[in-house]
Amino acid sequence: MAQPLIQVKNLSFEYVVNQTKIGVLHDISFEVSPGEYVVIIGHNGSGKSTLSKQLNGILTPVSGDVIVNGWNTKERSSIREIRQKVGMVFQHPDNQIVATIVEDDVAFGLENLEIPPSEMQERIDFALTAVGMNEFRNRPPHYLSGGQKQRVAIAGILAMKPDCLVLDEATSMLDTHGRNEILKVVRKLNDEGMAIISVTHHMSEAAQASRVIVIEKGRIIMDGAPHKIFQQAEQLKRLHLDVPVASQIARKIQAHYQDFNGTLIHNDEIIKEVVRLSQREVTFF
Amino acid sequence: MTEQPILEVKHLQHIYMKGTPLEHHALSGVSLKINKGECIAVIGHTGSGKSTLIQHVNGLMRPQSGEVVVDGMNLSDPKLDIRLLRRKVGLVFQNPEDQIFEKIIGDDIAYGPFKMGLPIKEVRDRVKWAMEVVGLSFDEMKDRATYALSGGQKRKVALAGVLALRPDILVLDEPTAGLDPRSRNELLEKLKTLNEQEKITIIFVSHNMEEVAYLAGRIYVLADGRNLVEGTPEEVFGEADTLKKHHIGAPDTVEILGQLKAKGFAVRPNAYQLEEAAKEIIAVLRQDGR
Repeated sequence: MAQPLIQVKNLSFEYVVNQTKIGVLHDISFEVSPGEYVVIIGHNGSGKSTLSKQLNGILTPVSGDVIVNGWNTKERSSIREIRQKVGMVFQHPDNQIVATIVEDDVAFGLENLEIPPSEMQERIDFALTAVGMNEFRNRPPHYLSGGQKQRVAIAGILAMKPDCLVLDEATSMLDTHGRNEILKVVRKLNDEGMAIISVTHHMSEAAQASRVIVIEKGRIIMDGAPHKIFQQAEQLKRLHLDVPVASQIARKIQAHYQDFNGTLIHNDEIIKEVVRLSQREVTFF
Repeated sequence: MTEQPILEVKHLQHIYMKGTPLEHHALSGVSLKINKGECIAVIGHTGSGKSTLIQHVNGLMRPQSGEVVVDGMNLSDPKLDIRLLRRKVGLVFQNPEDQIFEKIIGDDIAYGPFKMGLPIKEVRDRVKWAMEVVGLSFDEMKDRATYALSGGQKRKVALAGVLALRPDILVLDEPTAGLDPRSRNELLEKLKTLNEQEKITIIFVSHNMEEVAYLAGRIYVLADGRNLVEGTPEEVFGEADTLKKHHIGAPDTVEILGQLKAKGFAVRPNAYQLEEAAKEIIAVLRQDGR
């Protein structure tokens, strides 16, 4: 059996503020297999960002363990290996961009890994092309727009060819088009075998994953396929979450037209369902 | 007499790093005309010049060429009273949590009105009002520490800080980016109330088309630093092909209807409200089933 890429075992975590302990994560356990596409959702303050920072050792558990490819994140000696396996992209690219020229920024991680220059060039080309920023390679990042900067930050991680990409609300500053572009890149990387763990507020993005984990008050309260999770609209609303627009439309249509499948969650599925229902009638035309 | 627009932008241009090899044209002649009490969305692909445009509205940037006139004040005027302008125009940045600098929530929101030299009672009233508007309880939250707030709460504090200045025009850059769905909906409702009841003119930049559809009375679409389309949400979302060509998304409802229309179904593709979109599809299904 394939070994899980990331194992989270009974993870608990707290921040200490003025000698008061504030518990953020409580006894969380889950595994991520190579090639999985997992989305983590939860409202602001539910602990999902803190959880994502545990996955490559930016934060380490107060109790419990996080094991990446056999390495425990508490063993600081293997932190380089862990971070090469699990790359992370944050919400605000400004916190992640270091160089004064786009190309140099993407190269930064590679230089630290001592990649030979010829391969470095190849990887930079790959990464910048993947995020659609090739024509900006000689621009200073601080004159790029928020979305463009985020794409550069993602390229910097892609260049290191990690086994797992963790996105912490990485598309929340992008426009619809920019987000779709990133999601396309992410899906392609996932198709090629890279595991994806994405923390997001966009339910339509969550609908594309193979698995959705819902966090509330630092605990996992739902874990399953998106089609299953998004049928629980009422509970998600109580948790300050929502369901994709496609899902809301499907329900509304079903309420007035019972044959319509109300469990759909993708735009494409709605189109197919309308086509299916309109074609099955012999009296058509 | 016809009503004077509260904001008029004429052929505004802005070039970053002018005269260097990295010269970049952010705005190449944008014009807007916004009346008092309107709620306006500015949309466009990343890099289309939206953020550069709105930074002109409160004088953070001055026109390199073209004109910006806010309630009779010309921003090209060298003797412009910038303090008065900024009191009229409240700008909430893209990550307004970065605007918070005081340790205590109440202090942070009071900073602006306090610096305006208002009497302490008035400052207190304004802080209270602003906090209630954004949905923070004055009694519970005013003495709390700002650093221990969640992203959504910080966003509300920052917005309250701007509201406490009682601006006539509220300009917001991506107001709900990074908020969870409930906080997003709450904030949108607040903004709608501010616009409709307090008559505050709102100009907001957004890439969330659901939010544009919900809030905006009129939309300006920018592409490559120029005006592309303008009109009501129905008019703008009716231009699906133009929007697509310029990499601007539409609400999911419009996407779905557009795809159905392309397949030959008789739907109105710009029925952007959820309820209407569902009705369009139901009508099609009933017709075919007959």
